Amino acid sequence: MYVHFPWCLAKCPYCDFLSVAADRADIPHQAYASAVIAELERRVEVLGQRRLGSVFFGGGTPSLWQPSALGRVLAAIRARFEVAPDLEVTVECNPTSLDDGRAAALRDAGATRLSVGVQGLDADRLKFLGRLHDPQGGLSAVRAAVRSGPERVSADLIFGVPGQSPRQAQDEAATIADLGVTHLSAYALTIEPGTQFGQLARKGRLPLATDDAVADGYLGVEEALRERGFRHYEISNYARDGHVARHNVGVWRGGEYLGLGVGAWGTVVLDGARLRYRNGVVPERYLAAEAWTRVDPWRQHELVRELEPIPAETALSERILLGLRLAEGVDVEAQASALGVNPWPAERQSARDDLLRRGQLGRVGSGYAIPSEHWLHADAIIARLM
Amino acid sequence: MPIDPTLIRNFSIIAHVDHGKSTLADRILDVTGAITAREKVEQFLDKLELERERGITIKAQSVRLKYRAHDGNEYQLQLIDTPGHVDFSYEVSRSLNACEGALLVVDATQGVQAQTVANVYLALDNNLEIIPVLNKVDLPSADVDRAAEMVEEVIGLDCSGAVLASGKTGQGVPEILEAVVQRISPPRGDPEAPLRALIFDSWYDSYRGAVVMVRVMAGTLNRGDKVLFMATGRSYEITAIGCFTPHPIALESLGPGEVGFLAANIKSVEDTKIGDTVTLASRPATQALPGFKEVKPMVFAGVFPTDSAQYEQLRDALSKLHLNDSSFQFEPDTSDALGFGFRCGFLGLLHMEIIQERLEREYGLDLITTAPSVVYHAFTKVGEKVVVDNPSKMPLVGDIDHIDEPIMKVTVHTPSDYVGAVVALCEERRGKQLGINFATKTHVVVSYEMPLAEVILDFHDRLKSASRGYASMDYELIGYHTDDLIKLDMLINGDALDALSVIVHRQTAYTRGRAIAAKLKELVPRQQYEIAIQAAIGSKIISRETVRALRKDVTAKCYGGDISRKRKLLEKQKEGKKRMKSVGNVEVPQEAFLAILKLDS
Repeated sequence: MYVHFPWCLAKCPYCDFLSVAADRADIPHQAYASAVIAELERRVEVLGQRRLGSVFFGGGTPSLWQPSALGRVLAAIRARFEVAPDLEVTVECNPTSLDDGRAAALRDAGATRLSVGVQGLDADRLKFLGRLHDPQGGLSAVRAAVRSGPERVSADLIFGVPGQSPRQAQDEAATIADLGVTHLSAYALTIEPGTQFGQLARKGRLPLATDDAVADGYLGVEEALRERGFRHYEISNYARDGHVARHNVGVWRGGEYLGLGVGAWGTVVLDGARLRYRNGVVPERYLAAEAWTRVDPWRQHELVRELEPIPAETALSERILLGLRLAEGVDVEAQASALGVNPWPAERQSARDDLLRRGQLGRVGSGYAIPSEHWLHADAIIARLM
Repeated sequence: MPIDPTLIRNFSIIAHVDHGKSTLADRILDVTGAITAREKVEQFLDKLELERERGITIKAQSVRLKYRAHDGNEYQLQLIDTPGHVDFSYEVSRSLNACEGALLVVDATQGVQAQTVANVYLALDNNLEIIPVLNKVDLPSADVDRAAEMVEEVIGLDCSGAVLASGKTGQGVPEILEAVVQRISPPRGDPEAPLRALIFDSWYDSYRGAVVMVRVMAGTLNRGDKVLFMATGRSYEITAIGCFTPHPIALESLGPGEVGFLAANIKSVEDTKIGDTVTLASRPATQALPGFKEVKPMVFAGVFPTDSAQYEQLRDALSKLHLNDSSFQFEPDTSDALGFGFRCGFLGLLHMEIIQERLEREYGLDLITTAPSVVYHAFTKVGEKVVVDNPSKMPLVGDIDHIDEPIMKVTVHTPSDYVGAVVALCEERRGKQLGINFATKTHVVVSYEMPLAEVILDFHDRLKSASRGYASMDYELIGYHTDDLIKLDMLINGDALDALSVIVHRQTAYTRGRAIAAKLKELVPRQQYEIAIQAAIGSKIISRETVRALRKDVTAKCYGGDISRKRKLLEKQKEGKKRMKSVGNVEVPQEAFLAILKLDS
């Protein structure tokens, strides 16, 4: 289950997730909770009994949400599904809205995992990234989460920021890891179209790190975290044993998930057919009274702006795409047989053989994985196998 | 009973691309009632989509029209369409030979363009009466006086009798038809003399075999006649005679001056040589019509499917194109870098581009075409002559005594303002000056002897830019000369890209090698490993460029909502890869194989 909370105190120039800048006072905490629950009620009508393994509150800045409102949504979700005993509940947190009190409140509301958007530990680079917190703010938010929040805490870092040396990226990762987090996501700064950075870059007005600097930053982060006992289990994710982000791993293994909230994405199997949808992005419409009771949540309208059927062949391509980003790899044959398609059309087979020969692909059990030393070229490898 | 030749007028239209030839031709068909309103939707004379897009008429289509003139007589007008490019100048000359006159269509908003000039001279060589038509006079930007002045200056043609016309509005079309009747002479020819008919076009029809378009010069051609094609020496019995109105209609005979098609169960267009003379087997002419030339491909290039699975499709497509175009040749070829494909021979570069585009568009093939080459004659030390139409056939350096290359006589028509630039270009291309003559005060004919290899290497483009588009050129083979030629190889990480080997003059080898290596460096994308690009003569490396390793090719974030978009991005990356060829461990994009063509010299 993914629940999107769209509001942020400010829009970061690199972020391409749906977020809406708002003053703290203007956020409709309870009304939004009610609307999300209304959507949930409509969507579960046709789903039947399904097992729930994880809930992820993403955003936006879900740590801005009053814990009581978030708790109400979580309780409603738990009530509608068969819930795994070790249900993972993650809440994304921004350092500007996370202190000991908030961490404890989120834990009490049912969160089992907090993911803190530290992003960096250098004042100038945080400013460049449009972040409202300073290095101290990031560090104290992580400390508060570790001290007062649930057992599992993750932090997000961005490397490959212009002006950052690979050594600095490595040191930042080490510093955060030493604060007691059990999971770390480290993303190379990516300029996405449609963001403020994207526009600046198109006009050639954005300083950019060189590929070499980004690659060396990646290697620096990896070294720092490996030394500290973290496993590099996905291209941009590291965890101590038993602390992987189960929600994300579920998505990467091709699992279904229901998405709720403004601009949320979901992928579910309905009547044997795979369907991806995206909700409308306008909070006012989503919040309108009775909005969800008037519509079919599985059709396209102002509340559901995109519906994309995913044919089995495409689903297999996606599983390969996502699975090969994981250290565990992907069992292509098992996935293909579950989807009822041919695992190895001639083109994919010859690409596989060639990649195996070059050592850019390896066997893991009955599946395939990209050896981690080739992860920096994962796109080129994956593209050949799609 | 054949028509009285004095009531026949055979003419063609000479025009620059875009100057409105097709529209005007349609108007003529329209005014004479030859086509219906529905058919007007399409410009009738340009058949192929490709021709329309390129604005080039490749295959001539000739139409017979009935026209009642102001003098009260009904005339039989024959419009003979001509292809419009230097590669096809022989075909153009034969088409013009079938006429007594031509309309010179000039866009009044642009004035004379170079391409027309060469064809006007061909027409004058054939003693045609030329009627200037200033077209597009309805446009506000039309400057009739200036256009007329240019025709007089650049071509040296009197414009006092020019017709002002607009293909769009139909203005001037009746005047054009009257001028055709009054100013172009009727054909002459003795109906009782031995038959001599000129073949000026042919095509393949799946029911009738090769069909030829002829102009009867003397004698009479009847259905059922046994005829002899004088150049090939083959005889046929004529099964059908007809003409296009523009719909094909059957006729019983063609008399002197008449134009029409004939079918005679001819198996292949290869047996129908443009410029050949058709005569009666029972009463042959003593002499063939003058001007016949055997057209031979002069430019050769490898054509390879990007996806080796398309090899069979490519072979079928080439066979089909060959059915209609015997000047184009092909034979199987293999390349280490490109796999299985064909070595194809073309009349020239445009011909090559047209064939390549038709293969890609009409047959849905994805192709790599290698750098074009001419046919060299390599003589080994033991006195053996090796015909080299592909650099890979060149004997080893140590075995070669000397190499001969084809030499052309290149004739450039240019306004006098650009003579300096034209001469400089010709000199740069190993040209030997034959002469510079003033045809008129402002129109200069520059003749050079020049290796064909230099002509096909973007000479035409360079000529155009050196003369702001006004110079035009024609070339003909005059023989083979020995020169200091060597084979230049390109290596990628030590593997030779055989498809990129070229034969060049020793003096230019270093410059060329460096330039090609630099261009390849631009075109070969950074990959996981460092790539060395080298130019070599034999085993000697003369230039090296390095493509640095690509350190990072990975998406950072890939979560739920993004998956569709990321998938599409990767699919695009995959499609991009499909257009690459693997050479050893290196992915080489198709454009790299054309690097040699794209050098900014």
